[in-house]
Amino acid sequence: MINNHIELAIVKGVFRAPGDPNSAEQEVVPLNLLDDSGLALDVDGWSPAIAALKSGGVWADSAASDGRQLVSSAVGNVTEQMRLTMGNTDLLQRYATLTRLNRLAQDARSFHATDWQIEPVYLTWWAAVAQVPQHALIYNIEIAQASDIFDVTSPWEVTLTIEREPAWRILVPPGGNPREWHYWTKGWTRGVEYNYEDLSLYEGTDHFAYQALDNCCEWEQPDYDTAIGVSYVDIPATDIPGDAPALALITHERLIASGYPTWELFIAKTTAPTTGITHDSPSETRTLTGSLNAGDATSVGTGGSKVSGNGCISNGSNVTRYFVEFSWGASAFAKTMILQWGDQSFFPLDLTMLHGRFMCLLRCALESGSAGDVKLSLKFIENGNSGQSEIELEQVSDIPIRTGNTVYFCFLGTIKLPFENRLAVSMDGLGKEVSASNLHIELYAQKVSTSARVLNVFDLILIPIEEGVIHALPKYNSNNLSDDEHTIVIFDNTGYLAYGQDGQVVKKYAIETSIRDEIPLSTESRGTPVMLTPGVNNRLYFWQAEHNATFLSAPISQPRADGDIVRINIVPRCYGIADVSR
Amino acid sequence: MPSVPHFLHIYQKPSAGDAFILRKAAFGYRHQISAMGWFDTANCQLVVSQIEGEQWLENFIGNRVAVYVDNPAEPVWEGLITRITLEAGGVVFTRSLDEMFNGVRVTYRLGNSANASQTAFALNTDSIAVYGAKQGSIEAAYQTFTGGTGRMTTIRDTVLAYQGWPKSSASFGGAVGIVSVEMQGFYHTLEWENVSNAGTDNLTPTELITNIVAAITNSSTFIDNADATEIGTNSAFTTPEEVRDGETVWQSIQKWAEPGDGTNRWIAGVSPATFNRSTRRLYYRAFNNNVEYIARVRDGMRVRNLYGGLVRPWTVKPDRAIRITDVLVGWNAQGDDPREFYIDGVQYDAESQQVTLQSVDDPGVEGAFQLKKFYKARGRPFGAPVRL
Repeated sequence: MINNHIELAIVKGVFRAPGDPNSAEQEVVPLNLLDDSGLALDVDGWSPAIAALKSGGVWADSAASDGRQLVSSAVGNVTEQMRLTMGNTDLLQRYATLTRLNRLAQDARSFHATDWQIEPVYLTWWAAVAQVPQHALIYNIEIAQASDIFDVTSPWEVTLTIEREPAWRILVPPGGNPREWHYWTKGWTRGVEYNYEDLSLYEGTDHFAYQALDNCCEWEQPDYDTAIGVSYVDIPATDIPGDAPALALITHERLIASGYPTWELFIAKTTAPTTGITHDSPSETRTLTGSLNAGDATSVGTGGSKVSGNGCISNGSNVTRYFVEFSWGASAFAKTMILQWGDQSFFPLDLTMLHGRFMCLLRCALESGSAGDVKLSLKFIENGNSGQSEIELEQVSDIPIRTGNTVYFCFLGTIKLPFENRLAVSMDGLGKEVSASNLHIELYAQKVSTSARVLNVFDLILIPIEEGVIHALPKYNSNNLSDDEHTIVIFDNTGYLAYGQDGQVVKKYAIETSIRDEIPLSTESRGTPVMLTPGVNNRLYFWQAEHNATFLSAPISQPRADGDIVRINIVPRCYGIADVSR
Repeated sequence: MPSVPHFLHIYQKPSAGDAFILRKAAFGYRHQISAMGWFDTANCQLVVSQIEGEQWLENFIGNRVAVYVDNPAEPVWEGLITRITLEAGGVVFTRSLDEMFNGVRVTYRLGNSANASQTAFALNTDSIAVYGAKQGSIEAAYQTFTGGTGRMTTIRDTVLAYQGWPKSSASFGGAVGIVSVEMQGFYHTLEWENVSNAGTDNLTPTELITNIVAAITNSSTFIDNADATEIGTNSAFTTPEEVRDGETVWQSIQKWAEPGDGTNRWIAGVSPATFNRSTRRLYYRAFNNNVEYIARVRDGMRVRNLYGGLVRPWTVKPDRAIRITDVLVGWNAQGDDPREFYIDGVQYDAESQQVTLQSVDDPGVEGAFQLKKFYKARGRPFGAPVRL
């Protein structure tokens, strides 16, 4: 069905949730720019601009070589001109329209430059034949009225120069609830199939993405191509329309009764392929894993053994959890390899799938001791060329000391894989190739202490950091919480929590389910905002450490009755025209 | 790559705690990291409303900050806010710690004395409780009589009364709603304390540095002064521990570190807090002259790892060597390899994504190196060298 509806308007305010009888929102103030009897585009129309590189981009250039290289490609705001005519025969109406324009211009500037004007001002455009409107936050409006003010018979010419954000938000205006995008894709109409009671960001299962997570990656063995425990959410390419990165509102929920309130949480995005087939074994699908379980290590060094009971499902079993325990006597020893992952016949340690920059986090703990007793380091070896093609990260001496039964993240550094180029290509002329294992990873330990020490290692997590990663460190007062409560951490760059403002907002709440008491808590977030890339498969990893002594009951990575729940809602965006359909 | 925003995270003043307060996008960010000291200086601009800018002036001088880019586990820089400038539309208002001294004493030498003398410290305990101890030592004139020290104590008390809190200034000009933040690394807090030691022992530089850090007035406010894990062992010489002329803790550390071990340079500074360890500590170690970076003239000297992979410019660090791989190919003669140089300092500019590497032979920073060293070369000019 062809949709002939068109719209062009400047709007101030956020629409109320449909059917909300007690909304505190002010009335939305629209100014129609296609009103032939008021203000309308003239015969020249309007040519919406596409965002360009800010200042032409940042380039690396040298007179000693041809060409130049693009270093940074941020896009700038879009500045466009609209030529409009005021055709109203009533002069007072023309004055009133100019006044409304001037007010909107002031409000648009004040929204960004002050703290008291909190209603966003944005441009709304519904293109011909398009299925939905699209919106862009306005930063500035300059108004020029060129006609003779005393000529009351001819239409007046008004030129607007509008500076707006680079990308259009598809369907959901600034400050709007991103869950409405998901409902639109289902064919639902606002106020008909859904209303204000269906818009919670942390309740229900009907969201753009909804997934239970296990805080570990575990695979059915021996093929390792079916997940048992997952710590990620896969979003298919077809779910992310548009041509600009989609904004995301991510809600992470944990039930405290499970024993572990959300503590440190990492969210990282990757668009790397998650499966591949090797030429050696084309009948077997290799899967990308975000972590290497200690129980799956190819070799374990002196003093170590794979211990069942806690940890991750691994070591050839589909039901038994393993971790590696190193029990060392009193003697100190020099740096020696204690764990190796490589030559895996199941999932690939492969530089085509594992390419990019990664943070290396080891989930481990010393059972007792002091900082500096044991030092750890990671070594990455390409193509098995030990001593030739390898990078060893800096040794870390501050290994977490266990308090009770908790396990911590131990940061071991960052690595770029492959070392030189962006990915490994086949020397057999086959181009990009997934191989069984062209990467070995080794964990080294040096024991400094002359007392006996026990080190537990659960898994090595490689967190991609190139496409957006958030590290949230919520602080909470345990006096606020009880076993009946959830902790919910919300990461939002859609502008919903910021009421239209740019930027990422992170909030943590303790939700007492019996009374819906939302207790906001301080949460620091580090890293870059996570946005979804349109037209490609996206994967979001979620990793947690758990070290609140108050709620200890079992070590990490045990299955919990409730687990963690992730809900994701998005605002797709485009630089041009919203090309979406349902 | 698309834009990689830089964020400034603001925390409490170290004397008050370590809690996170807020985070702002940083514009025009630049930083300096030096092999001697480590995180040195940084500055950026923030976009704020007028009221928010005034709150920054009032509340955030002396607060701890950390700058994060793409890796949330490692800040690219960490330190204290020491100066805030607010452009308030026609007036530029500045407040800073630079001229604040909440502990003051006078160093003087009487005509009949072989040694310098110092008054006791006069303290503004309220200011110290907020900002930590920032001491100043006034150099008084040589006295030709044996008399009372009333003038010295009066000078001391006057300076304390006038400069016991952060100072402000104003000038005309500027835009509206721009806050410029200048920051210094934590090693600069070792310049905030004056040393006085009448001891007569001859000690190794390791012992001297360990002792002086363990005894700092600010104790564990800014660094974990009891953590000597990164203080290396250098027994190449011993020297008297006596200090009487009002030098700072940092000057003493420089004095003992710069001689090295007779073969290698030794460097000192403050190691940043890490993901695994939330405290900072002093390092004193032999310099690292291994080549860990390479660069090519033909692509604008972008820093790369030894395999040729690009290193993110905000992660480039000093205290390692870099080799230029596409000049003097096949060079093999006596003397230092001109293609390689040790990185004494790194300057990073976020807007241009460029890194400037500083070495001892850099004429542009010769004056800066002279100013920063304890042992100054004789006969060397400041500023640009003379050229015909």
